[in-house]
Amino acid sequence: MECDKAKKGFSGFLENTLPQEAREKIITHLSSCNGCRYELKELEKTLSLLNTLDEVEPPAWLTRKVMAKIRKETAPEKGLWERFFGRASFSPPAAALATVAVAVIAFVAFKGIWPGAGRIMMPPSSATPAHAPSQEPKHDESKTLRNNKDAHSPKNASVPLAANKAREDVHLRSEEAGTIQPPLPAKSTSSEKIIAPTENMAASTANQLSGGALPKAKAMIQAQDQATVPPSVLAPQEMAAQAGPGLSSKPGALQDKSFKRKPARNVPAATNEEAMKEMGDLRRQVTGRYENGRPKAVVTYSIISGQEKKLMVERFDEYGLRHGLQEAYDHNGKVALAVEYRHGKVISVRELTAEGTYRNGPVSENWPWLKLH
Amino acid sequence: MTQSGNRQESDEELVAQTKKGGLTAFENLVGRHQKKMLNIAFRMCGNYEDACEIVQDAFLAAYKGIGRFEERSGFSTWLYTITLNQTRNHMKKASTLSARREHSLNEPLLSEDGFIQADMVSNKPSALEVLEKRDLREIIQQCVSGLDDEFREVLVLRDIQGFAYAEIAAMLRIAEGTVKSRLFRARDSVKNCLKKLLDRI
Repeated sequence: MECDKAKKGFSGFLENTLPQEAREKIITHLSSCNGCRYELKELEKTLSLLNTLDEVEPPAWLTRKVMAKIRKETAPEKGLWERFFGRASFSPPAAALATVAVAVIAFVAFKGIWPGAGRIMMPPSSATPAHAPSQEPKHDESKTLRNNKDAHSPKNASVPLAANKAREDVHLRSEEAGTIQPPLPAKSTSSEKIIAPTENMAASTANQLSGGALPKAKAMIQAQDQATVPPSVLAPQEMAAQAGPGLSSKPGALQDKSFKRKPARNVPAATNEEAMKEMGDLRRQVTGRYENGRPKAVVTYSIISGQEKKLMVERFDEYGLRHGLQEAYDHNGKVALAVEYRHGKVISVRELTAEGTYRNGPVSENWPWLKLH
Repeated sequence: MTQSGNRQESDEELVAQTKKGGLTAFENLVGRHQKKMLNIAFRMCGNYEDACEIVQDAFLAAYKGIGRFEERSGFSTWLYTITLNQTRNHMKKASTLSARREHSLNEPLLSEDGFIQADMVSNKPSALEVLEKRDLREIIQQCVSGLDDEFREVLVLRDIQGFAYAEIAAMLRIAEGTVKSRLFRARDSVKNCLKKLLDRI
């Protein structure tokens, strides 16, 4: 018997799992091979050393902590809703998620995806927050394209293909990066109103954002769109911020902070998305119809262990106010809370009870922040 | 398969109750399995605090994914699989954070002195100091920790936790033959490492 073959049998030899015949062969070989005897002894010693590693005891608080975590996390919808359009004080995980959101807002904003506001605010030749398409990391369009078929309102139909394409590009990017964009001022109902209260803030932001770069494609779109209503790609978070009293009541403060804190880290979209997945496993996606360039419905997914789960569906009216059924899902994919809005006002609430049945409003203690609406 | 505690209800019964939303049932399961999970995680990552965190995350993931658990394999096997996945994620994150990469098992086997990574030597006390100051068990753990994930897993599960080959194969979703061949190499590496650190066995 050769040494190599014998060595392969050592494990089984020591564990007594070898058939008798093979065992005897090894014993015969060992009797005539010093090297293998030594090897076997070493292996035996290794195993016995590994065996000295004792079991450790779990800390007394472990079960409690696990259960507390579960209780907290299995109502993620609540946290999410709070985060996007509530004003509750944040618990640590919610705060972590919120940080991600803020980071992404800042990131996307820094990348300059704010065509609507920029266009209103700034002189056309230099101020539109802009992308240099060539600098953008490549991204998987097929992944993000699926929900963008209707992404352009009829108004934009006349825009030449190239410009249209560029805009779609911007849109895709925004979605990839998590679709979070700087909110417009609260509850504005016309573009004129948008300008007034936040001009300084927005202008300085836009300045900050543009960084002097103005790609040709963007300039082209801009020139073409000058006369028309600002089209394009406002993101759902904008709506959320508008509709949510928590965020919208002081948009300036929130944005200024986030812009100052995060934009220095100019990460490529792909990395950012990855970070999101790791931190909160959260992804937002704009689906459905667009009107005046604004999304009508937003679906938020979480990605846990690679599995995509729908967390909530939000619907908006043409002013970006919540309108229609807003739904939050529990971890089983069941609607945990359904709130009917009419132009930003809560009309009715339907909530999944612990017994698995639904009860109709008023808003229970579980959703304290909803009472604010 | 279960570790301890309340025997009147089987894992499967408790799982069924959990699926219906019974948190108490799941709490029972946590009490039952946390020790084994903690030990797996602890031997995998070599750090007690990290292991506690991994166990929490694993239970959370298990609770969220309990709808996906089918009784093809035992519940404990399923839990351990989740624990191992969480450990991998955790360590990946940790190594990204500290920019510390574990060496591939291939390298130390091929090279004369490549087994202990250079930065490990510089960051940590020398083997002699280790010998003087630390318990033998810490040296062993250090050698285990030096293995690549896939090799450490089989070694921890077999030689430290004492699982059967079939169960390890089920946990890791690999063939039994693969378990054995990985174990062979893992043991060899640990043996070399111990020889190096202890000078003799």
